[in-house]
Amino acid sequence: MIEARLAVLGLVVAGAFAVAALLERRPLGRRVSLPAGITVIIGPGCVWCRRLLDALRTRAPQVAVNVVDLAGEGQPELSVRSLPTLLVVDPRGGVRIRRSGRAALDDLDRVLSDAQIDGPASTTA
Amino acid sequence: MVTTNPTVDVNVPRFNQAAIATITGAAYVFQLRPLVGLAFLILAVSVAGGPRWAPLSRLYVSWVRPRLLRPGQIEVEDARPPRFAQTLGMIFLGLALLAFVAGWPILGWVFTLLVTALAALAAATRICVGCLIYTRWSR
Repeated sequence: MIEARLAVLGLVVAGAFAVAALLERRPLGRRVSLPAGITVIIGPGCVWCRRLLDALRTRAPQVAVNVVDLAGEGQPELSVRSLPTLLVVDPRGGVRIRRSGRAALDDLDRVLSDAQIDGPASTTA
Repeated sequence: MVTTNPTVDVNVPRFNQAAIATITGAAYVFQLRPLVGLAFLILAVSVAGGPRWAPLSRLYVSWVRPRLLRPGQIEVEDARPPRFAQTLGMIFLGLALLAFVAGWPILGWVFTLLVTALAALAAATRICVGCLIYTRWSR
């Protein structure tokens, strides 16, 4: 019986992970078009937003970052689960990379690398 | 007027979530209903008393953190979303206990497993569903 309950427990936990993964991968709202490059979505009550923007300025000062503040008037209805959300948008408007919450800060180096954006350490004069 | 939101070490909620997931998961696997009561009590004390009285937070701060981190490495976050998530966990575990008392063990274990799954998810991925509900609600 313990094996059966372990299996049920494993299924329930795996189900929660699967649902979270699906939600994390869902696209942005249909009507939203973002410029190519890096977009950071911030908003009220966001603990990591300021730190993420500061980290971007430090590690990739040459990159223009599109900042969308959900607290502002007339902002688009973005389908965002947590803040900040860091997006790398390709020239066709598709989201290549997406990181939300603390993961946006933790994975910043990898995101910049995957987006083929050189930080200051690898920038040549 | 300047107001300062309460903050908490980012690892405290994760430690809590991992412990609650372990306790409630063990409760289900070994069919130990008192462990559900224990998890409920831990969350109830944490919600009512805040981090100062929360048993798992105190355990983490006094015993785990000094062995893992130096003072300069501690990062803090807004304490309100994880506290709201703890409140939700406490409510669900309370419902589970009520279901056990009422003679509906399957319903009790469903509530318990829900808490287990969401706590495990939050501890492993930082996707805290209760925190997200709080953030969306307070926007």
